[in-house]
Amino acid sequence: MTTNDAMTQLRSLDINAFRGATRPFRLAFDPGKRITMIFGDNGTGKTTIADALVCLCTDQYGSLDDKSGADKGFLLSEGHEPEELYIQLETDAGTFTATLAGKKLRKDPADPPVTLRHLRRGSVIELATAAPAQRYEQLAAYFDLSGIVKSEEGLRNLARSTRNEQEQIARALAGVEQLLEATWKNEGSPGAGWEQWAAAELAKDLGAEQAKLNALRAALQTWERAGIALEKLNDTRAQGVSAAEARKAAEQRLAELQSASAQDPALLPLLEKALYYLNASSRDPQNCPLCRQPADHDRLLAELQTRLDGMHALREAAAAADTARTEHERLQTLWQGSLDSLNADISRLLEAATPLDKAPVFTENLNILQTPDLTPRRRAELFGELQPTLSGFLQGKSLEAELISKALDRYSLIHQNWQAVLRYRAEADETATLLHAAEAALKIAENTRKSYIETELAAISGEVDALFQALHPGEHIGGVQLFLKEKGKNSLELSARFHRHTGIAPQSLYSESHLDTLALCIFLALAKRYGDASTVLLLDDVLGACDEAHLERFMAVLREQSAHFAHIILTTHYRPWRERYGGAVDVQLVELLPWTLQVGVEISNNGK
Amino acid sequence: MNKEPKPAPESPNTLLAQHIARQLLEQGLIGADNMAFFVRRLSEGQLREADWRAVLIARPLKGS
Ligand SMILES: Nc1ncnc2c1ncn2[C@@H]1O[C@H](COP(=O)(O)OP(=O)(O)OP(=O)(O)O)[C@@H](O)[C@H]1O
Ligand SMILES: [Mg+2]
Repeated sequence: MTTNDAMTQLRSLDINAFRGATRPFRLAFDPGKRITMIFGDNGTGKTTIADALVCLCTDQYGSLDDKSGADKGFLLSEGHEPEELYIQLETDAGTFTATLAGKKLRKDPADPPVTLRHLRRGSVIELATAAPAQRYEQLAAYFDLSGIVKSEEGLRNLARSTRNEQEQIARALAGVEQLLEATWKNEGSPGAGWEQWAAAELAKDLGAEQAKLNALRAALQTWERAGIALEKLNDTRAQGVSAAEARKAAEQRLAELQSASAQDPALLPLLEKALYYLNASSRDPQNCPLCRQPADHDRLLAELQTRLDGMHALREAAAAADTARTEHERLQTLWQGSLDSLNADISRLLEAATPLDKAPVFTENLNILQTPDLTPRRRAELFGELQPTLSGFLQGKSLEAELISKALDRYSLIHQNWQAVLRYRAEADETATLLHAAEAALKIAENTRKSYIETELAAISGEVDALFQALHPGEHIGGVQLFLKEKGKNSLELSARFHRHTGIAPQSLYSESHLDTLALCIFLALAKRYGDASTVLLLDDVLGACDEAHLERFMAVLREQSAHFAHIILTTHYRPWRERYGGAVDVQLVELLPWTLQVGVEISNNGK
Repeated sequence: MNKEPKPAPESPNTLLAQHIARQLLEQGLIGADNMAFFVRRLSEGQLREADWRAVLIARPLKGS
């Protein structure tokens, strides 16, 4: 329990341009008194003072919150400018001020030095009579568990999604298991079961099979290449044969022309020049230009032309013979290249075929191709001759390769599926562990929260009942209990006793004043349980319906409880209290003067 | 002359978070490391699904 000097002490409250406080108002708290009673007739400013504290210390707007349609703009006193408004509370823990910024209050510092718990006429009756959900709303701030509830929701989501995950994994696992089982059945259900079969299958060493497949594929590839090389060689040879024929014909024609003309090819340029010379216009047509003897110019020209024609045909034949020879030689080179490459491919084939299993006849055939001192040409010829036989052998090898490849594919499928089975099983285990943990944690969180609330409510109920009994001794009412409905989320039930009836809803049998005091007791009990050294209680005119005897008992209870709070401020228009508490040692009485727009709220000097 | 700010009382969220964390620890559902951090995040409603997953997977005693 907090000691007195640990309690926050209120020093003064200043208000200006706020609601009824049209002029600067100051309330100086009596340092020695824990209770301040503000007495005033109707309309003197009690609610103005209470609202100022509510607006300053909470996010609410006081009595304006109760009146639907009330404009928050009326926080400002009639005829004043926003800059004039201020509310200031001075305490031993600091000064706290609110000013108006737009329609909102700006507070400095951000957090008030006191925790204000306030109750006013409008909300008293609600506390006792509201529907359970609304009552919970009103009191939720006291046992605010929103943080826990939110974290709990995260845990609940985890449990839910882990459950979904678990189902998905189970489905996927069943899928691959069925697949493997079907494959096993397809193979005649060997062994004890599909799992043992799959494990045995996977234990087999397939390295040898894979090596065999590689060898087969390599041999088949060299076989194919050698075939292509042979084809190319044959093509080149055919082209070479026709090129040789063309060369022979061209050379023959050239020889014929040469022997027919028996001319010296060196004469050709000379004759061409002579023809050119004689054709020129200015020449002497009567005499030979060489021997200067008379000569027939036209005959000379005709003779020259005939001889030149013969020499041109010879030249063309020489060019044709040259071309035919070059082409023949080119094809000879090409053929040699093809022959070399076929020989190289044959060597590769022989090498690749060595590790393969083969019948003696094929070994023999291949040996022939390896005979030492075989010329490349002979080897190519032999290969051409053996090709049909070897082709049969290699077709058999191709089939063998296909079978091995299929077996390896099947193995890899079993392997993949089995790996998937193992992976899904591991995931299923992990998920099950996580789900187990999440569900256990969720149960702990939910149960702890519920029992916490129940414990709290039981404690509050005890306190409420004790206070209520003190207010209504021997009246056969009480037995107050606050509790959460089993399933009802966030709804707070209230039950009480009335003479012989227990567990009744108080609003059905309790009188208005009893409901008022019941609400006050709930309010006090909560403020006390969740209060601290800075808790200030504010009760604005809350006991309208009570008679004198109950009012006295209420004051007695309040004075008794005042030790638990930093301060209690209550307002009243109940005149007898002005006389009664005028000189009380623990109660500061403040009397308000009649209100006017010009003067605003004002404290009477004789009220000390 | 202001006095030292008074320590804030434990809020219901914090109190309850401490209760819950203690029980989770007793059941081996969470580890003892970073307990204060865990309690704070639990009380402030900051533990989302992924956080819980991480916390529950990392716990020292698997299964119970
Ligand atoms: N924004 C405002 N500007 C000017 N005067 C206002 C404003 N708001 C309220 N008042 C006036 O201030 C005066 C005091 O009102 P207040 O509600 O504080 O009185 P009260 O003592 O609580 O009265 P009651 O006993 O009836 O509850 C009233 O005359 C009211 O009309
Ligand atoms: Mg009033």
